[in-house]
Amino acid sequence: MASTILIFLLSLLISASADSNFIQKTCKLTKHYDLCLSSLKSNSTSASVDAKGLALIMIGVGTANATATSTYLSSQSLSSASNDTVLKRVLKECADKYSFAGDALQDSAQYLASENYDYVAVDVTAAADYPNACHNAFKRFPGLVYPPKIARRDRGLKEICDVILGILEHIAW
Amino acid sequence: MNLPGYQNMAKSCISLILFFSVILSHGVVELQASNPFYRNLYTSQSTSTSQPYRTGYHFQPPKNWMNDPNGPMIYKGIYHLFYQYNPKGAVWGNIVWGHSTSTDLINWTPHDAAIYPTQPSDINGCWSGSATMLPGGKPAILYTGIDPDNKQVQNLAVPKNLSDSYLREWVKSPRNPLMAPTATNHINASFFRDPTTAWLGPDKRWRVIIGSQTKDKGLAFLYRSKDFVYWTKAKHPLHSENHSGMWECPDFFPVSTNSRKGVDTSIIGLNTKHVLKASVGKIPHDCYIIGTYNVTADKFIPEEGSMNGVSALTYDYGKFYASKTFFDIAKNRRILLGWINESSTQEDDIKKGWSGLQAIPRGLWLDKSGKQLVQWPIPEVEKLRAKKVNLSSKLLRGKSLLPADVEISFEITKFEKAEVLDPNWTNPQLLCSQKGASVKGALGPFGLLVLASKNLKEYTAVFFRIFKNKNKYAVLMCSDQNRSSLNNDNDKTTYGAFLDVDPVHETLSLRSLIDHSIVESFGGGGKACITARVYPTLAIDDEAHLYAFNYGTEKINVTSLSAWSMKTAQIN
Repeated sequence: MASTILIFLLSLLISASADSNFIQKTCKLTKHYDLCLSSLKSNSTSASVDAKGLALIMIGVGTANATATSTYLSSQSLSSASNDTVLKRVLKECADKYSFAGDALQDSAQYLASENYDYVAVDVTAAADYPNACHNAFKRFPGLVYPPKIARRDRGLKEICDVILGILEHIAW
Repeated sequence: MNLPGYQNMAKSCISLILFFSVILSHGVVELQASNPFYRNLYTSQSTSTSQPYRTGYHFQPPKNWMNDPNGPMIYKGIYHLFYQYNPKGAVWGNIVWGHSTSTDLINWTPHDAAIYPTQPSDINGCWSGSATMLPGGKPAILYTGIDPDNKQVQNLAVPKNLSDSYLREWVKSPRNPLMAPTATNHINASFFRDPTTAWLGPDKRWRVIIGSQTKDKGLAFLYRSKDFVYWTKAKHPLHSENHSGMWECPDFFPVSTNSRKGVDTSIIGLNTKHVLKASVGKIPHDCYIIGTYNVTADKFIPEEGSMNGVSALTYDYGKFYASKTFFDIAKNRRILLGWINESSTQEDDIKKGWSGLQAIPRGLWLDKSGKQLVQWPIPEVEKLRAKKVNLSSKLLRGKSLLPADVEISFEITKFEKAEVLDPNWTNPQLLCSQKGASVKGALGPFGLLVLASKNLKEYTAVFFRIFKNKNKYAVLMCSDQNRSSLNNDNDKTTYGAFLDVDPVHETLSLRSLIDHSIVESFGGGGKACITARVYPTLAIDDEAHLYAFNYGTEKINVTSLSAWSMKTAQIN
């Protein structure tokens, strides 16, 4: 009885390390190992250890990230000084862009499920490009400074998208 | 010589001050005159008035509709140009591959149509495609066919007889279509066309890209093959871009980073960058991106340019579309061909019985800065230069001086009065529209008036304006068609481009190839190109004049000016 439990526990341990081994191997293929590792480890369940599953998890991370940024920017727009209409408008535009990024990532999840990897790539690339549209909105007004907090979120979303594309390469050539 | 500044405000926009005659060999000479006085560089005579807009040296079939150049290539020393052609009328339809050959890309010999509907996979049309040279020097054409369900599919055709150096007949693969939209690949059958010249990877697999779009995101599908017959779709596009719409006529090729010489399409290596190009219908312009090609991952990594937006790089800021390059192995150069469609109404096209021209073939290479491509008409076109116009004090009247090739260089020495560039002025086309040739300025407008009638009731203006932009100077190049014709039915949109030349340290050059109803202009030695179609009603035959002008307040030096009449090429 004890040996059965022992074997069971042992096999759990082995499969768990095999899983995390696979996650490590996959993340090594991406541009941001640490981000990939931390995102996948904290979100994975034992059911999802193939590249497609990991990509799906990462898409979820990206969607949540983009949506959160969009919400943040909306609230910033509403709370900013009522006489600074230019800033309000730009923040609103940025909120829209990050919302579109979230939509693109959601679309990409559907394409991933049906294995249309071309369109997954197109949507993830599109999501990674929306932060640039927000940055350009700030650049249009020389008086406005691109807030470091938004710049960080810009970088963050792009890195997540890079990781997704990196994992995709592992799935298919 | 020096172009004087405009001293007194004139009411009429026709009052332009033009410059006089001075002998070129004296170098830079000052031009004084503040009285309106114009120097007529030359006038022209043409032989046919019933078809005043047909060209003397730009490729066009004897009649009917032409659009995209297809499958350009060189085989056994003979250049081949195929083109989208309607044998039955002057509007798009019944589309087949017209075919002409040449030994110099300027004079052409016509042949029968090379590719026309014969299989289910192209029964509803033989659309655009490209030629690839297979090992052993065997050409193969991949092209888009329209199948019985009106779906876009890709087909293969090869020469029937390789010992016919004119390659007049082509046979199609019984396996066609080789690439098609299916239920599993989810490719939209209305957005899957224009296969490129294929390139061979180190793994001995061929790659080709095909233009498409999904929800306004343009993309290039990537296919791979070992034998050029059985193609597998890669699991990622070569590249894609948000908001760019459909990518028509894609092109993907390497350029040298340290030479103007062309590079074979399959070269991947040191001292090369790759260029991805697409015809972006929503603008419409031919846009390109410079980047690197990772052949192992089969990915394109963009560095300069984009397919839409402010950072887009464009081959030509005017009428120039569906362009395609090929590697000319005989002269080690990459040649660019492009379709120049009409700016006249469809009704007028039907009346005149034809539509569409090809641009003069252009050499294409990466600028020293690595930030853009440069184009320049192939030197073979200069063989057509006939009478050179001397600048003398006499009014010149030449025989058949239209069409023409003009090169002029300007030097600016005083910049203090330059207008400041408003940071909002990011769209050069809009800026040129708002500040046309008749809008006074400080440094500019100065340039050429081509296809101009004697009283300047009609003219096409190609000119520069210089603006102060922070601690540098911006050069705006415009092609203003507003007064090109008294016939207001024509599309007279003004075109514009920012020219990346430093006017403080470099002379500003402009070259225009003028040919009845087309003006191809090259600024800064080909750093900015603008092609326009114009249909003058007065400035035709011996009433077409050429002037240089300066409507700015500041003096401009002309450091050189050459103008030649152009002989007629044999194009049919």
